[in-house]
Amino acid sequence: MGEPDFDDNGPPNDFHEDFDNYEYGYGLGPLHDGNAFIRQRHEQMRKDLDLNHELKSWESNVLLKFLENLFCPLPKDVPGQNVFNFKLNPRLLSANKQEIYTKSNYIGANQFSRYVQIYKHDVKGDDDNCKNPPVLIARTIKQKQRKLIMRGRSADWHMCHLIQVVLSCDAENVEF
Amino acid sequence: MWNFDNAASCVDNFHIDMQMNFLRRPLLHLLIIDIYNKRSRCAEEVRRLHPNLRAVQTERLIHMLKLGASVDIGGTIMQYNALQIAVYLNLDDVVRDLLKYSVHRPNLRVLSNENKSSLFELLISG
Repeated sequence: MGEPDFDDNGPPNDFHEDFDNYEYGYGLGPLHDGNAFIRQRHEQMRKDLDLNHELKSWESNVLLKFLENLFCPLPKDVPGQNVFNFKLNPRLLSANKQEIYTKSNYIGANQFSRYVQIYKHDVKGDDDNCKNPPVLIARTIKQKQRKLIMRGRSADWHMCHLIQVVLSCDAENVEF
Repeated sequence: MWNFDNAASCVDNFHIDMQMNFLRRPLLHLLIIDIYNKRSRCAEEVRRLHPNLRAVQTERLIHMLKLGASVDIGGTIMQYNALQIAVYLNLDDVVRDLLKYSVHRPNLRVLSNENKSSLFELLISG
């Protein structure tokens, strides 16, 4: 998808309101910082390496790009696989946090991309103009799940797990 | 083995028609959309890996309907309900199951409600 085309009128007034509102076709809100998670991890690694914390911004950026290459490539995606049955890479392990990282990497949660859909001649107050096709909803659901899994709260995990049971392809679940 | 009922029991205040706060729609909608997605051409590999997929999904649908899932409840944003979504996606067998196994009598008038003009136009446009 290309960049938003707001014609000559600029973005709609409610562009910055309600980040989770996907009726406009945004998988993630326009102000959602998809790289916050990665940056936080880089920050931690930088501290772990006991580097100078007062690096200039450009030096910091160079360092981050360097660190980016230290991450191993993502595992190959297997369609329909239940991420909750995903076997962890034993090299990575131990902490629960690492498990979340692994799963979020597996489902590509660290590569957020904003999903934009533009409707010309949009009339405010006309609900029928606010298209929300099911295919788009499915993508939104996936992105929301990634966010919840990364948050790592037990309530969110249970909810994601329930959703995953509903969405899973496993024949075993026929008994549910 | 995890199953639907066990997973549901872990969710606080779970109800079969609950609007999941971040999806803003109930699980039944999610399942119908998933059925649609896994019947598409791009899901051929999934179907090959899981030959019983269609039967599994049908069982799930029937199970949720028997648990009392309502076909008349819409999402909190777009008020399309499960029946309308199934019609929108042209899932004839799903529509049949929704009508057959729904505990509550479905409100069929929603399919010709003029207020849902875009859906109605889509339906009559063939």
